[in-house]
Amino acid sequence: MNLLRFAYDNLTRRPARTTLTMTAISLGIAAIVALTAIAWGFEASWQKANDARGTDLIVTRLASENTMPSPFIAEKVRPALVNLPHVRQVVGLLSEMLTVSYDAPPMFVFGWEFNSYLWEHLQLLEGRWPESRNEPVIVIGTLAAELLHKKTGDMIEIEGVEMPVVGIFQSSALVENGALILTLQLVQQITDKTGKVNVLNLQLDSSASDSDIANIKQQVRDTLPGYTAITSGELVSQNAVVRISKAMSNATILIASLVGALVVFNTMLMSISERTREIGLLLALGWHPRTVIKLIVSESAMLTFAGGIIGIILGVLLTRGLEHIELMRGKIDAVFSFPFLLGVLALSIVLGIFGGLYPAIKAARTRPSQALRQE
Amino acid sequence: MHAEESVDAVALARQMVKLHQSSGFEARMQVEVNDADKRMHLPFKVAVIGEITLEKQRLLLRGISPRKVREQTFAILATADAPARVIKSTQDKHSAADPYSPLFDSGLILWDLLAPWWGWAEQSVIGSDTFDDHPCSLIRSRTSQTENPISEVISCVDTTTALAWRTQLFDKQHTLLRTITVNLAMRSESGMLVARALTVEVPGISNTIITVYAGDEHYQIKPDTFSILESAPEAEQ
Amino acid sequence: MNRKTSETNDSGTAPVLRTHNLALHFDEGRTKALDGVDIEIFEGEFVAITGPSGCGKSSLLNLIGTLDNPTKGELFFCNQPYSALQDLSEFRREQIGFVFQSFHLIPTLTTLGNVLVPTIGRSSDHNAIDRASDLLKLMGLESRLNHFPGQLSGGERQRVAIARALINDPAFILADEPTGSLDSTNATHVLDVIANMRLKKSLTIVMVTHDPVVAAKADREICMCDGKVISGSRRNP
Repeated sequence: MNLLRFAYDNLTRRPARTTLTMTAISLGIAAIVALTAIAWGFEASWQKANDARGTDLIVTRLASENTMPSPFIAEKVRPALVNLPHVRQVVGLLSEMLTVSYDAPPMFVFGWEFNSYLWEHLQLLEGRWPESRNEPVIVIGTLAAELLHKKTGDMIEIEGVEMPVVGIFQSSALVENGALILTLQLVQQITDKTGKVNVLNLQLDSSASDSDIANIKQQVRDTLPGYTAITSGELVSQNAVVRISKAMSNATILIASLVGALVVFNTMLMSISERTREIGLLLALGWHPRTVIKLIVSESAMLTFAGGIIGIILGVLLTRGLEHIELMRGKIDAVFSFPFLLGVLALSIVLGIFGGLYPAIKAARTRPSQALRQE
Repeated sequence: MHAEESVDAVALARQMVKLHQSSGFEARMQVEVNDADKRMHLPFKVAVIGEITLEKQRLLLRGISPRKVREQTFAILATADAPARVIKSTQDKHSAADPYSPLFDSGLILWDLLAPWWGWAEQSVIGSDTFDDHPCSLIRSRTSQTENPISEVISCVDTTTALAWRTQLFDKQHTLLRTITVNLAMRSESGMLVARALTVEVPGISNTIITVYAGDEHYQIKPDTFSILESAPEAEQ
Repeated sequence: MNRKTSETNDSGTAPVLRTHNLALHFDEGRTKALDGVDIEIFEGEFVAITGPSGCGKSSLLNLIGTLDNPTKGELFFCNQPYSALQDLSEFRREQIGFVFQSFHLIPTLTTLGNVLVPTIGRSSDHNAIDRASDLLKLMGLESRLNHFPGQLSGGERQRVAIARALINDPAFILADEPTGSLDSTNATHVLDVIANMRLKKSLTIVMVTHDPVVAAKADREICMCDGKVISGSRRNP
């Protein structure tokens, strides 16, 4: 017989209340896990796309609150960039979110400079790549092929222009797998943005150090007013959708934590008020008030530990389920890391400790003589 | 109407005109139409290129998809001195068109896109309202031009953002012809609040939802962008 | 067997427990549960505290057991004032064993578990289970170790409570009407057990009872009335 065993027995003694409290905790934890994993995954997916391409720095317009940085004329900016130290290549990219089929949600349409390094990381599974910069053809990712029910040879209409699918590719970045890729010139033509890009990708030589990268960023700031050079991680973190989804996940963490702590608080308070005589007995038998506190806090920590485990499992299952919903396919690439899940479990336990603390202190202050007189 | 209120409305109208000026923009819109029987028509997409200055306002509307709208282009020119003029171009055939007519059986009307009522002389504040939690001033714009089917427009304008959340267009008999409401707004690059999605309701006839899905606030107008306005003969449709 | 005396050594003739002018008031002095009680109890004595209902017997026992704090006066354990004790819960745990009229066993713990409750939180107590098993064997409950209180008779439950009271080898047992909920057969049995334990472990026993038969088994009877001791406060020389 030890304190933890005693605490466990106390919880199993009231199965209905214990189950209800654990359910509430687990739902809150599940929401935290799902939303946070989705928010981080969304950010990670975008970052992966840029990292997979081999881009070291991205030059865009400043202060764009839209999903895509606003387009600008590439040749107004490129000359200043190609001459910067360590810059090996400057490659333009134009991306839009367009409806290409009324049966599928809007999808990313990327325009990449023909024959640039941007294409190198893609793995062609079927068909071929575009053969010239003006060839009116499309290559699509495996996920896009699935969502659009298209294979090589099928036609897709983008902004009124019908073009054949000539290839299907696989990418390590989810966002690219769900995209349609054309040459930059074609996308510029189709979207009537002649000469324009959202982003200029900079590939640096291997000798570029972190301080060189910082210098390049500074030089861009100094010589190109209205533009900024940032890493892919910085671009993604500035993205309004990423910021919103992270804000939502932070808000969920806060609200779920508060609710969780209150649920535990209420449960433990009810529990100790029903056990006044027993607690008085424990004190009469020589338990130190500290030991009573440890007992109550142990009970609440056990509750939230179990609720946390269940919540984590629920959250992972929920997210995996969402990933397979038609509307969300290609949009979610949830990130579950072991430290993250461990952190969520720790949060759950901390909630239990804090939620149980006041009831525990109240219990420890019980007057044994009065408590023992209670029926 | 107090003179003070007239002055405020006029100033606001001038501000609206100024804010909507652009040396070149392009907006791509998806248009969905539900008729009075709640049947949904096939959505279509259009691209609108515009150049708006104090002296003249020009729009070029090009059908993107589906095929039936793809080959049609409309251009509208409005100046202070002359009534709005529209040329329709279909497979190199140009003809004059009515600026007040709905396009592609929808609530999309070229004349509306220019919002010319902000340039009318008679502007007055007639009250205040709240639209979707946005406090607005009700501005009445009137014209005595007889050839204009719209003689009065009442706009619910949030004066802090200069966005008209709701616009009602009336004929000479004060019959409500249509209501344009903004469903979703977004910030432009310059920080101005603009409509991202709006609904045009023609009472008893149709509901048209227009969503801006792409665009370019710095579209380069080329010398021949509006060439169909110059080359078309002023012929009957 | 080891006898734990607290902070000071017993001189052998000094009382192990003493009270001086002990008072316990409630309702801001309107109710006087105890009113100037002076008693002495010596090591190894079996003292019965008797008196009519409401005379303050249980209140005196609670104060001796540190379950309540006196309003006035002082208690001494081996000449050490209670007020100087650093840790009252440690004192209760190590020096006192309680036996209650209603047994107060925890229904979800087994017999063995109940006996072990006072050992939880005690540092370096490695042989608690062995001690508990031995005590229960002394009580004749060796076949009931894994039974729950609901499966035991009244007499058995009280014997479990006695074993629990003895688990930490206390200096004295405080028993509040230990036979009050038992039939005469079980009551006799429990009293015999207490008497046996007293001899085996050299215990000092203070028992509250209203039963003259029980009181007759004690070495001394302290009679109380209206919060005061009317006889037996000191041992006869």
